[in-house]
Amino acid sequence: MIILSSKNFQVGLLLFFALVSYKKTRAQEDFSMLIDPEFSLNINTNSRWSYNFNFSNRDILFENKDYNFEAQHLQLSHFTSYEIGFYSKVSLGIRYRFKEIFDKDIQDEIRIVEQFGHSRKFNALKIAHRIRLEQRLREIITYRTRYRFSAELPLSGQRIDQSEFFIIGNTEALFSVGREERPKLEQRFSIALGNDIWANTKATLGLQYRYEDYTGNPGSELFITSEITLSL
Amino acid sequence: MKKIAILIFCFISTLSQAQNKKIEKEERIDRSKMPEASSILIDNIPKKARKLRYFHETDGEKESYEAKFKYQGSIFSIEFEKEGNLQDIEVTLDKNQLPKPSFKKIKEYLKTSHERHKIEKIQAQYLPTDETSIKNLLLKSLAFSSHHPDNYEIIVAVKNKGKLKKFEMFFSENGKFKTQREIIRNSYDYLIF
Repeated sequence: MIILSSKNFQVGLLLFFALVSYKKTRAQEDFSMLIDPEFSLNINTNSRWSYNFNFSNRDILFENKDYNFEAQHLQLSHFTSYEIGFYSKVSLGIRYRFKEIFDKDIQDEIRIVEQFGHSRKFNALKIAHRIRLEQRLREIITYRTRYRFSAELPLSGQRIDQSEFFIIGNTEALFSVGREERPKLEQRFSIALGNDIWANTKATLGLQYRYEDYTGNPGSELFITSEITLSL
Repeated sequence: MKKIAILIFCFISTLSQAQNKKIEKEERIDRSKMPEASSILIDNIPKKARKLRYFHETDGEKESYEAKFKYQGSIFSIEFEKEGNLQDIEVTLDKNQLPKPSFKKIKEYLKTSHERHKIEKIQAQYLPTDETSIKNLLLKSLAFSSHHPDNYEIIVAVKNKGKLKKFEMFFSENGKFKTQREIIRNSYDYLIF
């Protein structure tokens, strides 16, 4: 009974988060709703090197007070990582965003990413810290610094076995600067429900709330996120 | 049509056999699902214990049960066999709670056998014997600061020539190395990308 009520509480919390973020964001003027499905492949070798490949797509569902489906971009990313210490990795990544095929007035974007990641398990709880430096090369060049804190908790027992559900929550702070733009601060909050669908394969479905440029011209976005991650 | 049906049947049975090969599962259960014989010990868990939880674990062949609780700032774990016979009692310790000579010996062993190491978890293990009743063993583990355990079980990450491995190591109460078992390291890449 206790187990059941604890599960209900977690599901309730997820629904509450969804409802609150939806109502809150709808109340503001500059609000968009998007979907962002992703596929990731993580390759771990026997050495200290590991590789990550990612393919994703982003589509607008709601913008300018109107429901309107519109594809925004397709994205390909690659990260090469080198393990340092016991729980950390430094990575260098490149990301290409195909935007022009959906809108002729917008250039494709190349992004170069330097990353430091630290992840560790404390009993049932997995904690991860991620620091990224990004150079976004598009019509203008933007330099972005971001830090993300993530936590993952199994919903059944103390570890995630096959077919079991888990919950991932994270928050990320972003700071952007560029020669041709005003510095911007952004905060993101995400929550996702995941499942170990097959051996080495995880699927997640969640929501991400982005509060953009909150010191200047605030705007908010709500993303419906989904991801399939295959680890080899 | 018949051939297709046979083929589908073969495919499904192969698939189910493949799944039956290894079903590792650990889940939280209700107290009522714990084996009857475990009650003798569970009933003696101090009333002041917090976060008392029960778990069932199977690797597809062997089954075991576990009662976990927090008492006076330490985490206790009582493991039972499928029938409810006691396997062991473990107490999670801080390195400062180990007798200094024993911890020094453990550190010396780790230093000499591995280039680098990081201790992740230390547990004092109390094993059932014919001489001590299981109730007394529980009392002994609850007063762990004044009773030596049978073993120290240590989860340690080691690094040799840049290669990272994780082990579960057993040391005697005096800190002498006994055995070790490699633990599969999980990648948490999905949390950083």
